[in-house]
Amino acid sequence: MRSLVLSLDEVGAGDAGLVGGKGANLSELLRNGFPVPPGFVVCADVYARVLEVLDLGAALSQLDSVPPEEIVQRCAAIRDRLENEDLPAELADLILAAHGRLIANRGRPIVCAVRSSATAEDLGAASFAGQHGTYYYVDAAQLLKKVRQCWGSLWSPEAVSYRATHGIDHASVSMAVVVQEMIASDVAGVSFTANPVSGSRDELTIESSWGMGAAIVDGRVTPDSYVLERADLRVRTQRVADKRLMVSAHLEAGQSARLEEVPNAMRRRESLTPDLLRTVAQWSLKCESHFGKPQDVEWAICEGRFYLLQSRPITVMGREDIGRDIVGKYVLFKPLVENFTDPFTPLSEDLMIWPPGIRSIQGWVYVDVEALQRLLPFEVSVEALTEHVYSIDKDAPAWKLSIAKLPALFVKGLLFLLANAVLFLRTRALPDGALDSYRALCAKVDADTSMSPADAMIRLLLLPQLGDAVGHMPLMVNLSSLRFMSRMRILGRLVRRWAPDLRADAETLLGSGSEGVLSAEMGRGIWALALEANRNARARGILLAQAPERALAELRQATEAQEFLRDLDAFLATNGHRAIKEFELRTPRWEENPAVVLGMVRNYLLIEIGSSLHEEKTAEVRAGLIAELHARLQPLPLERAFGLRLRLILFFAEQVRYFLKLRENSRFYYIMGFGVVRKKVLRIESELLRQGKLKCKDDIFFLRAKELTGLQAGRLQWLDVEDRIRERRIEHIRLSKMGPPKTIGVDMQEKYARATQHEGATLLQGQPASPGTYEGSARVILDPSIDVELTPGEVLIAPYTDPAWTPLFLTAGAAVVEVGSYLSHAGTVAREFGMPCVVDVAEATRKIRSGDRISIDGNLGSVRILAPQAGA
Amino acid sequence: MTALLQLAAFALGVYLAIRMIAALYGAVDVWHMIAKAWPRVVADVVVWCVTTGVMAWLMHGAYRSALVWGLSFYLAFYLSIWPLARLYFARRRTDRDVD
Repeated sequence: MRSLVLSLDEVGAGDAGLVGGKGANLSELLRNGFPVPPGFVVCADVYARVLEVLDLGAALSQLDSVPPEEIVQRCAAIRDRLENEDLPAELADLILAAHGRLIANRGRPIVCAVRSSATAEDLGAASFAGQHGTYYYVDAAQLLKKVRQCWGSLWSPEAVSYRATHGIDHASVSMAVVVQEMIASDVAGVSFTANPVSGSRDELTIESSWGMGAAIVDGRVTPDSYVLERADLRVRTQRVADKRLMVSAHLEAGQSARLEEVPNAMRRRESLTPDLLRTVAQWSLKCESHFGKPQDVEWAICEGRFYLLQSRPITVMGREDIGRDIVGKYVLFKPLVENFTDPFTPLSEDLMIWPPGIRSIQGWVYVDVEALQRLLPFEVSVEALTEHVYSIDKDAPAWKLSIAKLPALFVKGLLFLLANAVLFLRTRALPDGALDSYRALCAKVDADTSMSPADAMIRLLLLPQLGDAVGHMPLMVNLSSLRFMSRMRILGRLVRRWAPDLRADAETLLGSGSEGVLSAEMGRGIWALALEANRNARARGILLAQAPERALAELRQATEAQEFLRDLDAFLATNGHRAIKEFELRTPRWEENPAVVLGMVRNYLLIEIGSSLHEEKTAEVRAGLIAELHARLQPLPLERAFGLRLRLILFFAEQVRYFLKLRENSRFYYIMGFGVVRKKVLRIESELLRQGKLKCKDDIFFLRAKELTGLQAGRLQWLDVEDRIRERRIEHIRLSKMGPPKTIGVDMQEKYARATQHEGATLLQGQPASPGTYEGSARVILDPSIDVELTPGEVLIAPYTDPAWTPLFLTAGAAVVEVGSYLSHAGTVAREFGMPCVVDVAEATRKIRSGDRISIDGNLGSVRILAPQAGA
Repeated sequence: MTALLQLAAFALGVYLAIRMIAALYGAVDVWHMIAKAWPRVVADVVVWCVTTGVMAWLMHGAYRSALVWGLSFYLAFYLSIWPLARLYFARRRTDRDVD
């Protein structure tokens, strides 16, 4: 009987058939001197005995002959019996006795982690990742139940479907269960002995945060991040994150919420001392050395002592593997790329309904190039079209018209035109503020509790009712704004025809500077808040002395700061639906967390500058250009008398400004609609948390829409989705770090050389987005809500930008952005502020370091690193 | 020739229907700033309704009928778009079981 339950130190690497893959791995580490928390394994034979006692053998052997539509039902019956029927007394006693010995050896009460360890986990390509149960905070009273639930998880619909997909015989798998002491960690984290994204072997990556490691693994917190030289463990880069949440190591009786706020003083403190960092690195490398392959190591530190929780080989799936199973040819649509730098969470992805020709792949948004090719009346290859869609700019391509395609396209085009003509006309000349009616509709939809998030998404963003205002369709406003391209082309031709030697950026400059661009207005709004805070000594004092979250609470109590708060509330009433990475439903909005706005205001107070560097001079430069244009046109026939050419040029410049503004502003309203959908999702989340069907806030976004309805209807429970959520969180982090491939199923040449040497400087090439040249010191900013230290005149180097970055444009001298296009947010706002901007500069935030002296040419799209920062 | 002219009158009817519907939508579209934009809204409605009326008045017999058919065809087509679009999205949702 003793071999049914074994201590971890009694097992070896060759016992996977008895104790499962996970049990064997932990035992192997423990026997080789690694500090693995003590525990025991309920061997697979116990599971076999239980099946025997419950007389499930016949049911299992029949599974392979059961019709597919019945299999889930049959498995559910097996699962139900495994989870709910009592264990034979002698087996229960064995498990409880082993648990008793574990507690006795520790000499104090402990809680345990109970982890499934399937014996088929090492079957070739089948990883079984996330299919089987793991439970934390388990005490003696819950132990047997959790062991039974681990067995039951072998028969969940997902596990069954997974085995069917991989051709694994249902009856052949068995389940051991590992019971280990749960370490009450002060700090925990994950280390990778090779770069998990690139696979590079010369560096070691360590991520750490306060409390239990689950918060990092599941992506609930942004951890501190360290990159170490593999050779000498010297810290190459480190980034201390704002760690707002932690998973508590202690769960009090009756408490179900595991996430708790990190005390203010600890949030921005390094979670690992240099000594602990070195300890973690050394143990991680020992794991790699033992297993002979790069490892992904989960660890914890309790009272200064290191514990190894798991070590697995790194499975590096390269970027090129994404979408490998997808049939067709897809390319990222660059104007959208900056909005989707991270993949969508599963729920956001499911709630989106993309128009034909656009689809989501692993959470990223792609254009179906072949579908687009069929729709265009040109003779254009898939490759050329791919390149154009990716690097769309202000110049229209010179493609040859395809006569053969014309008849069919004419019919389709006519139908499309008839269907949309009214909308196109309605959006042709909307006055500023016309879309305010959309705000009223959002309030109405929000108040309608019978409307589901999916219904709200369609009503607000895709299909209004017959009597709805045009503002209900930001998508059509957005499409309407594409008229900008034709207007820009005409403007360029007119300018070059009549004033060929006018400055190179003349068209762009003429087409910029419109009033009413809401992103720019928002930036100015934050600026105005900073000015108000500067006038109000009490508000200024609080904002400078306290972290933003605390500052807000103090401001609410300070009577002298009420005027500032009124301004803040007014700002939020207009812009509160906005956020960083705002297309993702998971992202909290500013109205939920105004501390983000206060952080931006605080940054302005810290730098103490008087006004925007660019806005004042831009109007002046534009007026100078118009005067120059006027002078050059004067000698042309009849121009002096009628001025028709100048009027025509200014008319088209006005059209370009209008449609560009419409495009940028439509985003403001998209996000307003998304804000309403998020509120509806949060209401459902709150109800599911109350019912115990979800355990942690934010988990809901990692459910599929179908699962959400299953939970709401009672078809699914927490145990059915817990592991799926965890697995998806891990995958989400990995994909976010990796970034999307530019194309799937089609090759595209890199348009710009990655980095070249030119006249003693490193030259990076990107796409021009806003004209002008500038030279200054670089400032790399990765997150506008955390590391904002932009001194006036510095060059902003950013991975992407969205409206939350706009305030930085007011003080930056120029901007360099890794993604985007002429139409993207960075370009539009930079042009409004009259600052040079280059986008699509690959890996700019890695190649340029804060302090480097750089030169930007927004006309040519080039960035030159003139003098690297001293010591870099 | 007559058939061609009738076809042109039909197309004109379609065009005028589009302009009239778009003009009538003006009030809904700018409702929240109607005080600022009403002259344009009213002007659009008047211009396109009057133009349609004048066109119908100027035409005779078969041409007027063709114009009215054009107007009616587009109105029916426009109203049919909504249920069709709803059907389309309902199908997309059923595919993914989104509620």
